[in-house]
Amino acid sequence: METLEIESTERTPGIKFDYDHHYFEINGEAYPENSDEFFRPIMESLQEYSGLGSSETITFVFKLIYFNSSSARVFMKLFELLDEMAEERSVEIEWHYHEEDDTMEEFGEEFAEDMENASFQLKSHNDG
Amino acid sequence: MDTKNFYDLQKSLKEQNIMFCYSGYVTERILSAIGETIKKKLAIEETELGKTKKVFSIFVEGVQNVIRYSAESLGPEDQDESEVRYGLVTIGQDPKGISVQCGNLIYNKDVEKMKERVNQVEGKDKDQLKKLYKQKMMEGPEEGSKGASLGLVEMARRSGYPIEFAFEEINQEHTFFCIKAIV
Repeated sequence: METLEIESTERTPGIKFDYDHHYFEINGEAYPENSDEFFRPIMESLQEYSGLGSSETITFVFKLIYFNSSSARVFMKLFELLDEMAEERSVEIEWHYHEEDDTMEEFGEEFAEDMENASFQLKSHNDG
Repeated sequence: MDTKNFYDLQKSLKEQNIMFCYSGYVTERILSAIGETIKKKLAIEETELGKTKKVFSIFVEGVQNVIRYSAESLGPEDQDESEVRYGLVTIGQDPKGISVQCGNLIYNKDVEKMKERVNQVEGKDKDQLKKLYKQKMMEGPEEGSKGASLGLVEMARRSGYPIEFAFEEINQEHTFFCIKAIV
């Protein structure tokens, strides 16, 4: 599949889904006017990739600054899909957050709690 | 020109330690513009990052709540494109921290529904709110709610003190709905 790349804006995240290398990244802010609408094509693309099947390890990196509650709902669905994929193959999720940002840390911990198969690592940083 | 009244408005805001006030029509575009301003203002005041993020989060959910639920709108209703709603947002210094307050008119007929949502959130501790948040996420948006109940839970979670809600009936048609959080 062709790489899916979307530039970030003030309120929508940057997306890089490099299907050939099984590397995925979401970064920046996520409070679109309509989260469902914004994420729908992105989720559909990931579902298509998931359907192809492969045994390669998936690396999924989250470098989010902020997201609103309707985007959180989408992320929950995304994690469900990743955990499902992890039944068949190795899925490594990285959740990056600023060390002073306890909200993002808490969200990471909560999403991690629900993972049954995928590995979920919290990574704090202190830049920016 | 009624300079006196206009000045009194500024004075009143200052007396209430309000550092930022927006009253008027809010759109998604205005939301991002004000959001950026708030972040800059808090950065200048050297507010801790964690605090700034919480204020910002409460602000975004609060304003999106106004955009979705306010009774006063420009243009025809039930058209997503015309979501230009009237609301009031303030950010101020409170003895306990930074206060974020949002208010808007809602229809009296919607008061019960809103009270139900508020009741789910009021008086809950952090762990209960966390559970409620997860439950709301799983359930998906309520019919016609566009996800606002999850927004209220998010606001309550980010507030450092119990979040406050108030309903003030204005006339036969409208009620002023107000939310206050302190970070």
